[in-house]
Amino acid sequence: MMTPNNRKVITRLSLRSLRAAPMRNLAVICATVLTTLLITSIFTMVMSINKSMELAQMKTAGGDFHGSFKYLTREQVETLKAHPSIRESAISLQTGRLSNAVFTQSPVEVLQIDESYARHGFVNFVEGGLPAREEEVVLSTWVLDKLEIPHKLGERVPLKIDIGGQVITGDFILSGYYEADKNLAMAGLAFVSKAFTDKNLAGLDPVLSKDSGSYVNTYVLSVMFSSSVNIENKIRKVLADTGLDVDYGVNWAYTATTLADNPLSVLPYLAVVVVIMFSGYLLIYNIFYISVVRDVKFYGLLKAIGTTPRQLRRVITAQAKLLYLAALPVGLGSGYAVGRLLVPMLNSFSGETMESAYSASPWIFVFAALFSYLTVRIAASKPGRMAARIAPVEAVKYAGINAGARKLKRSKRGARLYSMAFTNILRQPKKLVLMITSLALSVVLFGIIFTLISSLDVNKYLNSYIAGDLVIRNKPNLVHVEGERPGDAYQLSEKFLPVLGSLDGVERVDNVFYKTELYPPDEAMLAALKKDDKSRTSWKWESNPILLNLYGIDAGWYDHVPQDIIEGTFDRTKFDTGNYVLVSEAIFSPEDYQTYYHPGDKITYKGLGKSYEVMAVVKSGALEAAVMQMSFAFGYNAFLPAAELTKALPAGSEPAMALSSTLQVNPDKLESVEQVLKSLTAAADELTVKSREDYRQELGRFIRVIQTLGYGLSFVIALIGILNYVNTVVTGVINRKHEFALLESVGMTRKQLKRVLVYEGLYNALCVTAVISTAGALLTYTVARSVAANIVFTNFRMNWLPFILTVPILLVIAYAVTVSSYRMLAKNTLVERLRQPE
Amino acid sequence: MSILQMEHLKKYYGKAPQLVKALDDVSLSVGKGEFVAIVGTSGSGKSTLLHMLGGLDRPTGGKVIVDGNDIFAMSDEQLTIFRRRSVGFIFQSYNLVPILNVLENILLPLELDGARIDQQYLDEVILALGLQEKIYSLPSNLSGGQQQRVAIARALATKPSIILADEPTGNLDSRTSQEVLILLKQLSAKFQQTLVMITHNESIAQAADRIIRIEDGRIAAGAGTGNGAARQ
Repeated sequence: MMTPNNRKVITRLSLRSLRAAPMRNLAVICATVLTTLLITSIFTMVMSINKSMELAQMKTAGGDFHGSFKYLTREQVETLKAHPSIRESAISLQTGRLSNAVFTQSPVEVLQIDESYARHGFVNFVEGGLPAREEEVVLSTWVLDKLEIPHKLGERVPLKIDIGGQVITGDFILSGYYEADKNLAMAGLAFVSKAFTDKNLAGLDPVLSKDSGSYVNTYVLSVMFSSSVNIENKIRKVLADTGLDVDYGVNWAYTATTLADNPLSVLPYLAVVVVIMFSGYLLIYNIFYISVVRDVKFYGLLKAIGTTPRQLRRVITAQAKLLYLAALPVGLGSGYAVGRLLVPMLNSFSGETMESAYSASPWIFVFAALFSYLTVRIAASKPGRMAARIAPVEAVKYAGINAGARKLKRSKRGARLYSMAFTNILRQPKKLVLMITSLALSVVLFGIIFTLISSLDVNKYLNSYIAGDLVIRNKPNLVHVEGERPGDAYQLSEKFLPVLGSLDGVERVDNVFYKTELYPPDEAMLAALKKDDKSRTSWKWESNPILLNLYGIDAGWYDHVPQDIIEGTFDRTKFDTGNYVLVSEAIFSPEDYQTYYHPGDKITYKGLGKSYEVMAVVKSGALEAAVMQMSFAFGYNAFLPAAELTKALPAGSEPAMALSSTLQVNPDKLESVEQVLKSLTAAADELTVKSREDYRQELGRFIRVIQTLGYGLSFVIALIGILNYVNTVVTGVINRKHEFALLESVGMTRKQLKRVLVYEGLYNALCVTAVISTAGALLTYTVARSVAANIVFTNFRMNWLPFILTVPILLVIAYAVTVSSYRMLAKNTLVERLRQPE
Repeated sequence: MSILQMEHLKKYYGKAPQLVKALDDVSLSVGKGEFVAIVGTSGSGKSTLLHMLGGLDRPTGGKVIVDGNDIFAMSDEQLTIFRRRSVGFIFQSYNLVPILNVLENILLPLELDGARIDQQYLDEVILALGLQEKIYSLPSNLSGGQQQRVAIARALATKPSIILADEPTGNLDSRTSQEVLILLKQLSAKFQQTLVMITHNESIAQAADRIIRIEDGRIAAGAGTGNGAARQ
């Protein structure tokens, strides 16, 4: 039917129609830009946050490789490397551990690596490069600090390298060094040259060292595939193809929280996108609808002349598509810009400082363009169908589109103004529904955000950071994953603890002490570990101790224990005897918590030289304000009375450090105590003083971010709703110009006419109020409740204020819009208006 | 041979007791090449009759058969295509598409059909209507008579077998009316088209082969013939 020839004429009709309605075009373009902008910025945020999270996790995992094959011989490396599915690979050779005395508590692995490994493993050289000669070595800045060697190339570094029993001692020359990021697992690595390993490891059998658990002279092949989708299957495929059966690992940065593997986390964003699409749809639909109603004669004429319904639909949709194309670049561009601006703000949500990574994935634009196209296309299709349905006689006699013939009822009360107004608003029920939906939606959105913000529980938040009025903390990064802490870990313990209690106004001091314990897995742990960790089946747990966090807590903390108990009961007096321990669950993977022990089990900590009975098992996040926001792989937190950690420990054991001191202060003296503390700690970089108020302010910043985003969004949607409303009312008045003139000519005064219009406005506002106070409130309640359940620091409280506030605002808007549209009407004289054709 | 046939056509508006019978059981037959004038008072139903003939509106009952096709048995899409190929409309208010120029307006039905343009025929029509100077003007820049001539050209463009004209001279002064009428009559005769025209102007009606009077939705008795001899 559509020959190229008649396609041309449809295009021409569309183009000319476009030219004839510049204001409508502008409105549609603005609406499309707005919709595209919002959708693009949401996608930009989602993708960028995803990327930031991936980056952070890769840093923790130690690289951005998709996965790795472990404990290989040289031959196995070559076989695997040649597999066609592997795009990029890096080889590292296990060489041993630094056994200098300073590294006993914080092991440093020695590897021999290639360029590719350095590049993907976040080893960013400050100076220098990988070692080439036998005596050259690369260290991280904190290893240098630990060894008290200046950050300078060519420095002599005395190292002891344990290559699985045998220790090589010698002076090495620093060929390069790199910054140790606190998130970087790479901090605890040292790199030697191939010359070194060729010479020293030649005689070591990888099979034997694997069995012994030292893994010296085994290779790890880290690989990149074409994409990060389903990495494990790709690895298995490689193994199946090569016929090798070796250990492998999947970089969990790609699996744990990436959107692809966790589609549920996308839902809230998707919901927002749907809301945006819906409001955009309402707006664009309304504009096209009105334009079709206005041009009904034009479309009737086209049909009379011979434009088929299908062609008429195309005239409308072609216009929509052209306007969409005009709006698209602006929407995408500005949306991306806005999204990027908002990413750092959103990243600040997550407690830890996360480096913002920006995604420029083409998918952002593809999906944003697609979603906004759908919005425009769907919005234009109904008016298109409407235009197609117009009877050609409309060309000859047009009297407006009516929702069918209405049965006329004889009024018993005469022409009352309010009942007239009521009949009027019901004349076009579809428009009414559209307008009410649009306005109600913005109110509901506002209500949800308002309710969420008022549900944020300040105390719940504060309690997870601070238990008293003031807290002095050793900076968290003083305690390092694999490295040694620079600076004095005992600042708090030695100089301040004795002083704090004697300060004027301090009523109580509760300390937290900390030390790490290298713990060779016991039976209970091994059972759980071997069952769980499938990818490391041949890992020798027995010879690879796990790091545990030991905390010594003062009595003030005891009150916080019971709420986090999973198993067992907490008995203060028994606990105080020092023979009992509280253990937390261990984190196996981000969503998988397991406990090794049950109440009654016995655990021996060598560092404390004593054995303890498990009193209770607590949640992994127990005593949040006391512990560090950090735990070791497969490790757990153990809580003991402070006295246990501070008593005389066995020889060779590092004394416990004071992690924090929480002070309860007489409210009147709070300020002076804070001043004193600040001046006391000013000299020590390691210490920070924070008051409850400081945390309150931090939460304030968090709330402001939510407010900016949330209220911004509801403002935009409210704007759309109001525009829709204005549009509906104004065109309603324009369309009835003739009718009003008629009424006036038969004796209705202007004042009465105005009152009819004002009544209409009031009824509209009342309808919206009725909808939001019933269905709207229900929706708000359900949505806000389920969202609040997912945010930690909330205590759901339904807030009715936005609904109550909305009513007067709606009334004011309704009145203002009505009066201004009436003014527009009143400009012409009665005769002029009567004469004007409809 | 009749090209247009109307059988028991009814068109009612509203419901009892306010039922309006715009057309009430009208049967009529028009022969090929005939020029029929429909006359009647305002509200008599003559426009409704014309709309039914052209398939612009659907009847409450009865049939309209054009060239052997029952037009109301067709779908909206089919009917539109049928209309643009076989029926040319001329309205009292010209009804040109304001956003298209004269030539585009004339070609619109052809282009919508994707049909090949018969340039020679087109030139002939344009020349006959004296529009050659104005083909790139917009309708808003034309006088009433000129606009109506464009409408005639548009109606003729697809070489339809039937031309339906609803008071084509109603908005024109008497001199222009005469001119337009003569053109219309000449051209339809030349291309052997059937012409059905609504008018309330007796002198114009007299130019027709046959005059049909409509009163209260029915054909009035004694529909006479005009003074013009049957053509051919």
